[in-house]
Amino acid sequence: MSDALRAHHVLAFSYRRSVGGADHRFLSGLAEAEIWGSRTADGRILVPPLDHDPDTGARTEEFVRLGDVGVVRAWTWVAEPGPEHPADRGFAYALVELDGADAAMLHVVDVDNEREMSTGMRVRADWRSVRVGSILDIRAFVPLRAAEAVPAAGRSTGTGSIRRDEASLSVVSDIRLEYTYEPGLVASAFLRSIAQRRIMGGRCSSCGGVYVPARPRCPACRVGPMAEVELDDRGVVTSYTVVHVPFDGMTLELPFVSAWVRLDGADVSIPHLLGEVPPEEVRVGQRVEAVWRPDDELAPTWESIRYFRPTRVTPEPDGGAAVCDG
Amino acid sequence: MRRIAIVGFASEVVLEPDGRNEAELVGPVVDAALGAAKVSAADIGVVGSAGSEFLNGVIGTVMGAFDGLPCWPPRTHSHLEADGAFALYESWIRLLAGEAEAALVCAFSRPLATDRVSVLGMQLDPYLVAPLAPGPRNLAALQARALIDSGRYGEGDLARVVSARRADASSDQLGGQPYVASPLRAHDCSTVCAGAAALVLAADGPATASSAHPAWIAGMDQRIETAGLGRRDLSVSTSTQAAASRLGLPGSVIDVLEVHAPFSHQELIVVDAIGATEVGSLNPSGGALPADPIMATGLIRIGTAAQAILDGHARRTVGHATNGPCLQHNLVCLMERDR
Repeated sequence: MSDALRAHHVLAFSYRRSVGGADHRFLSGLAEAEIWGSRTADGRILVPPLDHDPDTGARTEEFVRLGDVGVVRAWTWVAEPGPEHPADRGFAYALVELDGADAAMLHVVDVDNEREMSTGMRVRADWRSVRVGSILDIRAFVPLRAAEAVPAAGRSTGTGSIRRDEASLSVVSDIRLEYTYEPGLVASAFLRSIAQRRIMGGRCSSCGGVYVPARPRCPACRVGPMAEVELDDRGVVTSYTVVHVPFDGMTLELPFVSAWVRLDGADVSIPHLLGEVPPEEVRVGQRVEAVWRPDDELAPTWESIRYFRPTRVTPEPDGGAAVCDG
Repeated sequence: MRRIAIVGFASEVVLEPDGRNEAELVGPVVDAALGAAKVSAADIGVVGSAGSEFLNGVIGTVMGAFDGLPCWPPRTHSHLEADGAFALYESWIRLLAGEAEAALVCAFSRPLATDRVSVLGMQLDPYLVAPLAPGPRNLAALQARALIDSGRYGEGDLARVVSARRADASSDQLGGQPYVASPLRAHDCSTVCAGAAALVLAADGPATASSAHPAWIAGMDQRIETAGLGRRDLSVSTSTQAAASRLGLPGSVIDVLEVHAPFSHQELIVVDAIGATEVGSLNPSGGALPADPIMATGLIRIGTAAQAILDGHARRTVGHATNGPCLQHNLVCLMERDR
């Protein structure tokens, strides 16, 4: 086991996707408790519908409405559903081929236990009472009882045109993935040094270039490992921008200055914040120094440095002025 | 058409995270592949890399990985969010087109998600499939069911694949284990882990200088099937069949066949689809089941098949790689010693 750092990390983001073409016909149909497919040039019925035949690339001819009864073509059992699943007790994922269709659709089957599942079993859609144009408008497929009346197998066809009030249909995807992140062995050593108010870089034994943070090997020469070199916490602004526009996750007050700072002795710049200086007084070439957090707030992160500020000019005893870091 | 060969290969799999990041994983593997090929980093004219930031969850880490690759001075570099086998295909095309004399293809993988395979759910149709939240194992299980229902294979055949690939498994004990997604048990599903692979390609002259037995690429073909699982016959691999037919594999003899099958039943489907009459050695590396560094697994299969020729053990070998749920996208690479 290494002494590498690790940290819990969550990647979460949301997409709202507008729905077009055959997907729109299908999902807006589900909102009406109807299932629509599309007919290919050679007469096959695809459910869910596609705008193009995947075998030939030709446009499908028309949309076709089907019943909501079909047969299970393949299935698997989920014994212990998680919070992400569409059921709160054991259920089956299944490929269900609706009567009259030539392709199956993925959905879930709700039965009491796995023993009730079999390939070839007859099922029907169980609709939610509130439907929004989602694949989840079908709560689940459920076994078709022997005595249950089955609608005539006939299909109705139509243009499948989309009503004006359905035109803005969209699907929201909320993505959330949890990680235990490890920054790497060399990066861990760098971050631990930051927690001790030290900034460790790496010097390439081939080209002599000094990189901060240290890298596993020289990005230019590929030679590694790099020799540790401790850098001063003072340097020079090599570029900057003044941020005026708010963004998600922002923790600072606007406007603030984001700058590239090349520490003395380093050959590359680091990105950080500037503070204790009005944005209009920042300039490229300005000398700056790190403002560290108090000892009890130091942690293995760049945020142990609150920001860089212009290097203080202090009066000398004879009344002249000298720059502290000479 | 100019001849292109694989002249060096190296890989490493890491079953548990050990603190190394992508550059720390891939750098030594690249060094080993270049060393085996007797090619210097300066001679590499094309770099093809593969990996996914969804695996470790941190944006920008692909750029960090490039510290382990020959990237300076700048040269043609293409990065794919896919298995390294597909980066190999692109680099092979670039060498065929005369862009360079040598190429480096590499892949790196650090699946750090709490559920290591969960990132593959990002590949699913967001409209009709993802809202149902099926995991990769659930979808693979539908395929396994379809295969068993076809009558060609049974659960005992799946167990025999597992016992052949996993050193710690014996087929008579496997049947008693609980299902994770019936009819699949935990050992039917690959052990997802970290890893890296690198492979050196060279054209005619440099290839002959590199190795006594370059693994000449006789052909490489890739095909993809519809994203709709219910529109495919999941018990067969139509795309693998098409690729293998283009390479003349059905009815032929293959010395070493390496199949990228993250689930036991998929090995049966792919081997049938390739259709060789005789396979001297199937998955001598153990295949994808005992160690599956997602995004590097397929490249390792092809590299392993190439290595058998480089070592002088084989004349005609095949590597297979796959991507997407239920073997949706398949690549087959045929290598020959004498060409």
